[in-house]
Parts: sequence; structure tokens; C-alpha cells
Amino acid sequence: MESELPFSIRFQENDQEVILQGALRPAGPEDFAAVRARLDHAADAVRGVLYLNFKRLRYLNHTGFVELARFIADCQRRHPALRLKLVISSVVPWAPLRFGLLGGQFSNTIVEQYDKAFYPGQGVTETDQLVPVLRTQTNIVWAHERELLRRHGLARGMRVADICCGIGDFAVLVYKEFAPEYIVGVDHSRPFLQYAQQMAREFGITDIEYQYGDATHLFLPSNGFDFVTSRLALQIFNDPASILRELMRVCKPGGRVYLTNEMTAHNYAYPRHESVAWTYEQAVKIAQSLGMDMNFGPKMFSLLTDMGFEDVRMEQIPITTHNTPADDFARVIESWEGYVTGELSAATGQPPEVIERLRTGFRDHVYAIRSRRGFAMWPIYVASGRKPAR
Amino acid sequence: MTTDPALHSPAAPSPIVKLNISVRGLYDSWTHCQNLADYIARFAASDRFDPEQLTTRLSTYLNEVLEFVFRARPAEGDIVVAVGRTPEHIVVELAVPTDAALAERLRGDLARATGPDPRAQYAADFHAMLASPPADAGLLELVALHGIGLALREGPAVSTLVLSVPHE
Repeated sequence: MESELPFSIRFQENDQEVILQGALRPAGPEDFAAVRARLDHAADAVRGVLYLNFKRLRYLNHTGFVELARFIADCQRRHPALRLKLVISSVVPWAPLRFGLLGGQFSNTIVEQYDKAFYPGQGVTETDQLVPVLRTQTNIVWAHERELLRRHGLARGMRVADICCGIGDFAVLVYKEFAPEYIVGVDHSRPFLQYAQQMAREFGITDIEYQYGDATHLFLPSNGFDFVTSRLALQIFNDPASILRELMRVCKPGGRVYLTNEMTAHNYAYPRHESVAWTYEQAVKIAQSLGMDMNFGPKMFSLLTDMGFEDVRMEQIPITTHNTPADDFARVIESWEGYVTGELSAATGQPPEVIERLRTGFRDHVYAIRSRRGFAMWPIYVASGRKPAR
Repeated sequence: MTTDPALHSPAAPSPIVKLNISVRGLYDSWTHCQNLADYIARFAASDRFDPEQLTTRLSTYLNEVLEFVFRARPAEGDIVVAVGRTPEHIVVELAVPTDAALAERLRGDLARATGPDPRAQYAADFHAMLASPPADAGLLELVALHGIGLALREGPAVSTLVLSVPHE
């Protein structure tokens, strides 16, 4: 586990950033002296802002906390023009409490909760209203993925991590179908995780572990999993590569990382295809303004390849009116309508006429799904790569 | 004597883990505090919802109390750590062998850490703490910032620190 991560401190002069990781539990000032020397060196070496990165500092005792506060107080005296930016993560439960206090005590100190900034669309992507659409989506896609996962290397008895697990239903399906030795789902939404836990409990499943976590800084061991999945998730982040690096870290050498993402602009319906096409293009732009790339799907092959994965496999799940029950398909699109014309539009301040046109496009998509002579599709891109054994 | 039993001292539940640690053994190394805290926390959190979060929290709190005991330098004997659960809390009891002087000191430290407004007390003490942190500073922080229930139960030649940690 991450608690095994030894303490380390390093100064990246280019970024004006000191990164502290692991467990920092000094017995007293003498025990902290080496850390203090590194901090002083960094403060002496920079101008403007010095970033102190605590995202992976899992443990800090009160003595260490006081020593850090002393450093900040001394910095205020020695470098009055220097600002200290403490970068923390809500995943470390004590961090907002302690560093929040420091932010209030020292005028040279700003506290930034990194994961709130990293998940720009989180407020609109984690609400309970999304649960029904997520469940329906999983059901539709699972009909294809059940077999497809085998082609991408998932087998019985593996250690599996599902990162950005959402409401946890994929983990439940994998648990039932593939009987993993161990499976953990990680998400940054507490409401989703509570739902996941409740669902697992109702199904009498006690062997799935759910964790609150940040996909870019997981509390999971390195090289710990045979199969690491992240489904329909990378597309909602503005820095998918940082997540993929973390997925690679936790994957065993020789294990596989499995991703699914959409190309929303490829959603298609006929008749009324022009209205539908406009709506999805507009939805992509709105999501983009919140840091999401809803056309990320086809880019996965390049990203996996560039990152050094081997045996990269890519294919498409073609959800169409010919292979999916119309009611389920329509329910997904109706949920998108509610989400895009509701929360997403409100979050980005869309004018009423745009919202109305968006709504029309979604309804035209549903019309095509339900029409006897219509055709509609929702392509999902699937990619996986093997982590090199070396 | 129990400080404010109505607020801070829930009935001790049956322990799910109980460890005897010799005082002499604990003194061998400062890192024993964190190793013990990590082990006990991981054990107690193992079958809970989000065990990693709970482990991090429990280990943080328990380590603080173990470091406090380490610095208090109790007499020879065993420190006994017992962890149990109630529906709302995880209850950690840490029994420390005491003589009269140590018992008196623990009583004073705990009384300060569990005063009427610990958060205001901690904020008020903060800058003075940077010059010279008092022995009970870590305990006060547990109550003030982390919302941990803390109590002291006294018996013959033993004082027991009781931590009540909300499950979430």
C-alpha cells in the first residue's frame, strides 16, 4: 500500500516546487533538520511563489506539522516577498484541516486543494441525478464488454483495479463474471461511492473494496494489479496523461491497462441528422469549456503507444439501434439531454436559445431511435495496452 | 477518574484487536509508534468501507497518542492497546502503567486537551506553540481540528487514554 512509500522530499527548481511524499513523523526539530534544510534551500533559490506539494504526503505527525509551520513563519521574516502555495489533496483526510489552519495563520501562505482544481466538472458529474443514466449505460455497454474484456486480457482470478469506478456497477459485473482474486474501485465522488457500497451490500457482495481517491495520486501499490480499467473517464479530465501514468504505475509489468472513451461528435442519427450533429458538436464545446474532451476516444491509441505500452489493441463498441433495446438506448440519450441542457448548460451559462436547440437535437436523436425507419448510433472506443515487463 | 464521561467516554466495546507492548520495547525506537499505529489501524479498518481512508485517519490519531505516551516515559510494564467498535465510533483504549507523578501529569495534559473550546484554544496557542510546543499539543490538535473524542480513565497504577473516532 501507499503507506509503504518511504518519505522523500525533492526540489524541482524549474517548477519552483518542493514535493514531499510518504510519511513524515519526526521525533523533534533535530529529526526534521534535513527536511528543513531542503525547504530553506528551496526558499532561498526561488522568487515569487514556492509550491509545496503535499498531495502524496500520507502521514504527518503534529511535531512535523509544527516544524512546517515554523518554516512558514521563518520564511515570512526572511523572504517577505515570497508566497508559499501549499498544494494538498482532499484524499489525505487530515490535510484540509491542518493546512487550512495554516492558510488562515500566515499571510504569505495560500492553500490550494489540488483535486478540486483538477476535477473542474466534478460538481456537475458526480450528482445523484446521474446514477440512473450511468446504470443504463453500463447495462448497454456490458452486453458487448463481457466478451470484449477477454480479448483485452481480463481472465478469472486476477487482481483488478477499476479507477474512476463511478457507482461501482462495472466492478460488480466484473466480480460476478470473472471472480477476481481482488478487486478495488476508486472514485473521487463520495455520493457515487456510497451508492456503490449500498448496491454491493444489497447484492450480498462483501469482497469489493471501494476507495475515495484521486486518479492521479492513487493510494494503491505500484505494480499491484493484473488488469487496470478506467471506463468513460479520461475524457472528462483536462490532463488524461497524468491519470494514464498512474494507471501504468499500479499495473503489474505484463499486466494490461484497459480504457474506454467516447467520440461524441460521432454520435449519429437519421433522419434529422443535421439537428443531431449540431447538438453533439455543441455539447463537445460546452464540455471542453469545463476541461473535458468528449472526443477523446480515438486518441487513446496514440496516448497508450506514446506512453510505452506494448501490444496496444483498439476497437469500437458500436451501440446502435440494431443491437440495443430502443427503450434503453433512448433512456441514455434522454439522460444526456437532461444533463447537458441542465447542469452543464447552467455551469457554463448557455443562453436559452442554445439550450432549446440542444434539446431539440437530443429529442431528434431519440426520435430516430424509436422510429421504425430510423437508425442511430453511439460509438464507444476501447483500447488496452500491456505494461512492459522490463 | 474520567474526564467528562458523559461526553467522551463511551462504554468500551468488545475489542477486535488487543496488543500488549512492553514499555521498554517501545522505547527501542521512535518509529515503533508509527509502525504500531499503521498496523493497528490497518487491522481495524480492513473490512470497513474505504479501508484506506479509515487506515490513514486511525493511524494518524493513534500515532499521535503513542508519541505522547512515548514522550511521557511511563514506568516499566506493558502498554495495552485495545480497539473496538460501536455503531458510531471506533474506540481505541490505550492503558499506560503509571506512578502517582505520571498519573497527575496525564490528568493535567488531558484536562487541557479536552477543555470547553478546544478549537479556540488551539488557535490561540498556535503561535506560542511554534516557539515551544507543549507535550499535550498533539492531543489538543486531535480534539480541536480532527473532532476526536478523548478521555482519561484512571485505575490503580494504570491510566487509560480513550479515543472515540467517528467512522466517517
